[in-house]
Amino acid sequence: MLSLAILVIVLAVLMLVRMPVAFAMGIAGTAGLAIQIGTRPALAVLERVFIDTTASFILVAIPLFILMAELLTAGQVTRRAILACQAWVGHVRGGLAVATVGASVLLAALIGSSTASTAAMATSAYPEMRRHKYNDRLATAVVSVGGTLAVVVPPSIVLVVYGVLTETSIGKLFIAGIVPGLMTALGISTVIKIVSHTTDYAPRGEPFRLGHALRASRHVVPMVLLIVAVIGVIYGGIASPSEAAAFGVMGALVLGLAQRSLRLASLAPSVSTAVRATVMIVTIIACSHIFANYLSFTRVTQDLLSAIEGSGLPAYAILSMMVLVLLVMGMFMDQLAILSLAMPLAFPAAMALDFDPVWFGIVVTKTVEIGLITPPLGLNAYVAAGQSGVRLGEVFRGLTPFIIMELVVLTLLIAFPQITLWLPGLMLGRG
Amino acid sequence: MPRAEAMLRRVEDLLHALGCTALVVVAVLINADIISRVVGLRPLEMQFELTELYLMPSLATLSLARVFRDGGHLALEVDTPSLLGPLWPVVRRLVLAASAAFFLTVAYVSGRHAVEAFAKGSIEFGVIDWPLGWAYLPVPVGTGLLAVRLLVELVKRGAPSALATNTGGDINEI
Amino acid sequence: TDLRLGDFQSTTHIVSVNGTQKWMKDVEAATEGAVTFTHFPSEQGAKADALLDAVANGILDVALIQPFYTSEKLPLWSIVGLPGFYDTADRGTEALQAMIDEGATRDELLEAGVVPIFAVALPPYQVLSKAERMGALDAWTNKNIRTSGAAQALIARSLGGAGVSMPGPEVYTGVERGRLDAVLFPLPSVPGYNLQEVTQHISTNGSFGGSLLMLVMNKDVFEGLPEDEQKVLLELGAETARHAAKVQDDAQAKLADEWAAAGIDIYTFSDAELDTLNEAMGAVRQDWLDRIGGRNKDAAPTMERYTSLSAN
Ligand code: NA
Ligand code: NA
Repeated sequence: MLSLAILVIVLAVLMLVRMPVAFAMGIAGTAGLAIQIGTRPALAVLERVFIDTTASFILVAIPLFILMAELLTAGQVTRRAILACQAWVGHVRGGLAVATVGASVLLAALIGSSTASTAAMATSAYPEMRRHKYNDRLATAVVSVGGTLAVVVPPSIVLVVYGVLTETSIGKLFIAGIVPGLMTALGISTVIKIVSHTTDYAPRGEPFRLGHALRASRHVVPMVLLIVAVIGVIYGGIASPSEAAAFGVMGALVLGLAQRSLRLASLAPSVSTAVRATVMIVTIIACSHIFANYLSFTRVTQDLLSAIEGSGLPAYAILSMMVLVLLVMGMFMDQLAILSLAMPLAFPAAMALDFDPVWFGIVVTKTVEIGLITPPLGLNAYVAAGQSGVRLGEVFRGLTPFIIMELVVLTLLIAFPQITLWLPGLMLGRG
Repeated sequence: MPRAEAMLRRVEDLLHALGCTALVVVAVLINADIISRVVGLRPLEMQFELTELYLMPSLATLSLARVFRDGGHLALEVDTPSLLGPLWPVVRRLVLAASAAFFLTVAYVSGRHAVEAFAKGSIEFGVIDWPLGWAYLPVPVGTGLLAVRLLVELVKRGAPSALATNTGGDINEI
Repeated sequence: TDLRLGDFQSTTHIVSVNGTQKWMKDVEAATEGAVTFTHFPSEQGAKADALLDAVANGILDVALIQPFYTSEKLPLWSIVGLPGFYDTADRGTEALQAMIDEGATRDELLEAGVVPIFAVALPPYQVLSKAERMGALDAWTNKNIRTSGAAQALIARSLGGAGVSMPGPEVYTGVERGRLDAVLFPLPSVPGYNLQEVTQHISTNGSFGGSLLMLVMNKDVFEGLPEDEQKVLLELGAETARHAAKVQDDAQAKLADEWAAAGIDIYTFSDAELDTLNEAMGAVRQDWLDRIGGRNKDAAPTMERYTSLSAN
């Protein structure tokens, strides 16, 4: 146990001196393995861990989702969706912000990457809101928080990674994310309305014109068609969720080219961005396997489990402790790093407490996703700030009411598992 | 030194281009498979193995060094540099040295694994015989080049303020 | 001696309970605590396809392996995946136990750095289908069949269908949504994936390939044990293998009864149907002989021996 404590401190120090999270986990994990089982076996772990991690079909969803988001933005598809939503709700105060949430939901139904979604919205929705004299705080906050929808509304990279790490059905996780995702979107819109009526952050709406709204709606048709096509190939039995991501990439490409808004020249940078992001993510997953392997040889999972079983604490008290730890981790760490660091411990514990693996996956995803909009490390806020040029502090200030709303939604999801589980139960039956 | 750096960059870009090609091939293959199913042709039975054994490892590891050069490996955003003051350049070099040692080790042991597979002619017995040496090769190549990149950063004169990593602002995360 | 035992199954799996865990308990009791185990189930010690290397390299001392996952190191053992050999886990296990005791199949394991302790056969794969029984070759034509591993993909192909590789967790949805027409599966594993909920017809006497689990030990660690302890490990291993096989055969029979009562069409192939299917699948055996035999002179003698060991 002493060596484990030292290793955890080493890991923390390495991360504090800005060693990339993946490298830090790999180095600390290898050192731990060498202490625990010997140097030669530790090297044998290194010999295979990268090939075993990367040779995985299910992981292809990651580059494909990111590529899809890149193509949709490059092809102006997201910007048109915002304009269409605005034509319908733009007449209320804060209407354009609500329209951005609507477009974020549409985008979320296509892509599974929160940061990709935020980036897409920051380059398309933020300029629109700025043009309509929205306060920067509200505009960037809506873009950042709207981006988080992408990992709860299926498809979702975080849910794919959770499914891979815990061997939970990815199909079920996807369906389970729908209601919590829509609930979050409703929550965001409510906060926008409250902020709009209590501050001068949002301008008065423009008069509603039915003809204009109908005309603008044409522009959202291609995106809806794409969503229907992607969902259709999954539930029509033509492709598995990971394969459907590839289908969506082709759809986004065809759409952009057909609308003449995508130039072939922007293809190469899109592919390059997707590959770079994948390399970063997969390196984190591979190195976290090294660390998780070390953890399992320390038997800390079993010790912790028996401590929990012996503690006599009610299951929900233990769950609350876990969620709190994940929230704190979310302040400082990236969501995939948290998942891969925490799930080897938290998942078996949750299963021992008889929680549903699908529900637990949604609760965990929702929890780590809040970390994307909290300081000091809040990736979505960083991306929104980076793309808009608004100061980071302003973005975080604007996000405060949304963070409170997120915590309320999380509490509801924990208190009422049926919110998450009734839809998968309805569509897929029991088990 | 500038010539070595230029050469390293060229190799990094070449491997990155290979990784990008792998992604394009994955997308094309899966779509070809889906389309052939929809129109009632035989599915491409080799799509799964080709993707899993060769294309995923390539696209996930060949660009490791290029991603580091671009500051794409996620690190914590803590203001350690100003906290450590004059000590920071030393700490930064230690961090680079430890990382380089780690990836050199990974490259060496996984490279040995690949060479062994080539020497024995190891195959995965599938609908066709898949040579495993080629499947194992991208990992030592990608991690090896990353180790080289880390060493080059280590001996570079003058420390950049951060560790050539960023934590946001770029759209290529998550 | 405390030994690290790695395992890819969860502790609730039928072979884990009646095989791996039973063996550990029996050994600890028989040696009166001279040999004990620390168990790393559910891939905690190493990933399923890395377990053999993990034992050979000393990451683990003992592991339950699935030899097909490492067919590049254990090519001869891939013969067990071929169709049309043994018909029950019990009979299959008798053959496999003989094959770990001596011959080229044992040498292959020693070569890989491990000593076999026991090998247990799974009941042969059956076909679970949605629309119709699969007795006639017509039923297989151009159907999408979920298969796992090379031999099974070839089985699907030899019968006129197409083998579809799909990750385990996605199979349920695949069948339900019609991406898959049928699935090849050992029946005791079916409830773990709830496939009985989405299929209508299940065969019980087919032999669409076999499968096995094998407990192996690091060679140096095994040879370092006193001879009487070695003997205990092996004797209890043989006993455990037989027990685990019988439990599986019983479980299969019980499941078939339950499913039949639940209204699922549980059926047996007629002798004529079996002959037709086996004849078509003969191509898979020949393919194995050509490809493995082309690289390994022991392939043909191994097939001869396996044929006689598993014959009815
Ligand atoms: Na999504
Ligand atoms: Na955060």
